[in-house]
Amino acid sequence: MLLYVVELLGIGIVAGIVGALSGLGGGVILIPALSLLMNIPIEYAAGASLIATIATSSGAASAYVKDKLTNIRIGMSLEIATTLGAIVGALAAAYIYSRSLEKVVFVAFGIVLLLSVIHSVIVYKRKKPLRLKSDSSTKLFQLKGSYYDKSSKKIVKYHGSRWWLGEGIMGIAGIMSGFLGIGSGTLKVLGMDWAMGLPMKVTTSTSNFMIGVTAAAGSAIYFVAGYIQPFLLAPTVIGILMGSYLGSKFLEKMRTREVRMIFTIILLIAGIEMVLRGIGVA
Amino acid sequence: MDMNNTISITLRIGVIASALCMVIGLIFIAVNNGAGGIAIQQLELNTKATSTASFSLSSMLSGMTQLNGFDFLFLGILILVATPVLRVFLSILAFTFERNWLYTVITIIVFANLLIALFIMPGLAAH
Repeated sequence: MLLYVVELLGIGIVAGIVGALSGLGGGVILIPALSLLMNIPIEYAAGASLIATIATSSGAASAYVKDKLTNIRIGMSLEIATTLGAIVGALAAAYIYSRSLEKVVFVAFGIVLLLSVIHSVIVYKRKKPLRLKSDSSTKLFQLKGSYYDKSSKKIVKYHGSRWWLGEGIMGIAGIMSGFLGIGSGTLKVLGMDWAMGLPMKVTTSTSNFMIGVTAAAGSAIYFVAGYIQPFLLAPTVIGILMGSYLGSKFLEKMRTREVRMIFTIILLIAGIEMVLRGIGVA
Repeated sequence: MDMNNTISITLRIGVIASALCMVIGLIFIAVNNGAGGIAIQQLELNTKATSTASFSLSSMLSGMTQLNGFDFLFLGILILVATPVLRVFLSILAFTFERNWLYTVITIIVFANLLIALFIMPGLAAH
């Protein structure tokens, strides 16, 4: 028991630290680590990841809400699509697993990892945030807010627009979350940042608020279908909570280009491995 | 009363309570060398019998009184899933206090989606 629990705890801690440092959800690390390194069936890895996502979201959100970086209105309005998407995604996953088509999930997961590698490379290159003009949805859905920026010591006012485009992307993010068992934070950030023109700090913390609600919507289908293994899950969740606490508390300064680079390379390798496993090469 | 503060505290209590249940559950499993007649070695094999498919609320509650570690793990999972749901529910109240009716309605829709996801969809998926 000890070895098994320690292994899971360790994977959880690493996933938590990486999640906190990179701003990615822990799931993109957790699922490849559990399925590729520990040979745990991917449906159980995904189930554990989905529940772990709720833990990291709720754990970190309690701090973010205080900072007033999270825009609860924007997050909530986008949750309409993510929760519906998560239901669709989780039902699709249950269908796939009940027909033993796990390889579909491996390939899909690998592709999502590779796409997020491309995304983080593009984000490197763009320095200035997008500024979009306000439109009718800005007014209708009250897509405005402000936060105190610690580094410039100023209150930053912002607004978002193109709510419908954002909502559409959130629907896809929800489907991915339910289907793969991840928070799909990267796509949520993309939806708010690229589609709606919101500042990065707001998108990151609002996305973190949203992934917990999205994951909760997908989790019940996993629960009833039996894709959640409590004995596998518990050490992983405890580990990921410890890791994300450590990451956000003590390792904040390590959020450098080099560290991001290493994470990107890990994602690249994991993505290729998952695709290879899916098509039966590895 | 600051609603955001209440929500923040609720989330923290939820996560801590859940983690605590999981730690207690693991300790009981270690001490009892398994749970509910299932040996530790079998728990590690991740079979259908050790998954959430075997869950029932009444057996969880009775198992907890017998210090069955596995049932504490179940409770930890339930608490964790409940925290975001509770958060959305509290947000309905927060928007109502603000008299922000559009967002009261939006949040009720999200809450309804969650209830459908938690209580109706799993039943449909099982058939």
